[in-house]
Amino acid sequence: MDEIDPDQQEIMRLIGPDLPRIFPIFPTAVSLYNSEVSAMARAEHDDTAAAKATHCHVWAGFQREFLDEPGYTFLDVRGLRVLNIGDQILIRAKKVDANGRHRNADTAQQRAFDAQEDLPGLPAAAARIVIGYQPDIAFSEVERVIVRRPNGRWVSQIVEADQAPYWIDITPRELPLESGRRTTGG
Amino acid sequence: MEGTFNRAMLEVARAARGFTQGELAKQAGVTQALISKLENGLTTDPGEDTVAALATALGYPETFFFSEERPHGLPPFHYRKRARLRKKALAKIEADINIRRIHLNRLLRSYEPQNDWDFPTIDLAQHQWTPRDAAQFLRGHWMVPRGPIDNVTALAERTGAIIVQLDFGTPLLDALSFRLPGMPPLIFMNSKMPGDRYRFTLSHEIAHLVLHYHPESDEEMEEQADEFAAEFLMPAREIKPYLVSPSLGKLARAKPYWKVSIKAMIVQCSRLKLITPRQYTGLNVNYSKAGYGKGEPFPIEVEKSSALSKAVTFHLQSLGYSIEEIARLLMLEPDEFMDTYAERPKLRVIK
Repeated sequence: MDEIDPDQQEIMRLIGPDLPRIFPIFPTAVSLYNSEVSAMARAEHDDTAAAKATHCHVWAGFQREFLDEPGYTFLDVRGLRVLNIGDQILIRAKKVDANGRHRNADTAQQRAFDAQEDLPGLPAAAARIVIGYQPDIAFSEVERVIVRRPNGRWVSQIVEADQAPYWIDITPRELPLESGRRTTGG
Repeated sequence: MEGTFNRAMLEVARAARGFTQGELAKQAGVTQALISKLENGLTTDPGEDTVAALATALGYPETFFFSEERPHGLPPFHYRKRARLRKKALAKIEADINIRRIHLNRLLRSYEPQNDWDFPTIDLAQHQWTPRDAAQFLRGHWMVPRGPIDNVTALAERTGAIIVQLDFGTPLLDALSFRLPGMPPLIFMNSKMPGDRYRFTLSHEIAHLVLHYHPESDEEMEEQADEFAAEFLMPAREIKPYLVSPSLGKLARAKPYWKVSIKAMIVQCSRLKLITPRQYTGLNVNYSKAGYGKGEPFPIEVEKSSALSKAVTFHLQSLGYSIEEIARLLMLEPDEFMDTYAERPKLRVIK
């Protein structure tokens, strides 16, 4: 059994109290897009437009939940929109696929964020994480919400529960190889 | 009871309740031999006690068995059925349809349905038209605006057609339609199906009524009806922008607007040659992988028919029928009339 990364333990401990407020933002955003945007407009949206519109609802959801609350600050670094929790955690939200990866080309700011680099306007010591939501193929509901430390360090999945959402570690593990053998793809 | 015992109505009543002869005999406390002889016309006068027992067991008033109605068999065409449909289930559907048709016949003696346009017939060969041409013609004839049809049921009912929604008790039969002398076009729809399938099925039945008044090969008629229904609901010129470079996500977003299934749009993409056979296969594979064969996202509400309930309401409100009187007209017990036709809680039996 692999041990859980202490960094993952610590960050999930820090955002744990906020998970019951963060988790519903994603299904609400998808539901809002499907119920409030007219059927004709949605029919004319391509995948990018649908994702972009849903992302706006996601970000508005974060703002409805945390704007003007002590300890939470919204930052915008040349288009990179981030929620700063107590100068300890910086969160950006992304639509992701089943592997927890996003598809679109990142800006320089986003790449720097994911690489945990310093960016003017962001607290240097804060951990940079991505909260990803994976909609189903029809964009009708959210199948999974994940928290990911970029650069492949670890991935947690948020699991909905009656009491409060909890997290499980879903970091991909490398298969142990027999000594002297290498595997190839396929 | 006056009149002659109508053995055909006994058979209809038994099939409508889903009884075998043996089950009915047990329920009514008579022998199966008697039921068999009655239905085959070997015994013509069952006697008052037997009629009362049969009426009680079957839940129909005694007048039902002495009416002069003649049940019709199902037409050999015009119904979307799957091959696995069993004989007993089909017999029940046939009986239910006969009973509703008898009700309609009686209600239409005093009630004239709305009739803004006619329900034409089109000879494809004579016009040298394709089913798509016919669908475009009908949209124009019925003055359907560009784009999706908001409510296919309401549109068809404006021609005087009667659409009856019934629980067929099986998912293996979707619909059945026919024209009978002296009656408007009749379409019987299985009420237990998703709204998008309901709309496509209804359009398919409209195609049969418009195109197939002389039966041809079943396979050809079904293909023509599908092609007609697709064009009727998704006219090529108007839906093309929504189907170019289709992904499952894109089609899913178009579904609530066009009110057709994702599957129907995939087929339409192929029919209109907007995708290659390889892309068609790919979309179908993704469709299955997503589990949409068992239920698609963005369900469409099933349209409600209103012609029959309007006829009933007309009798109750304009003609002043009481519940007992209209139940007697339709040869039903008042409770069954309420269950079948009344929109609770608007109407209540006043005793």
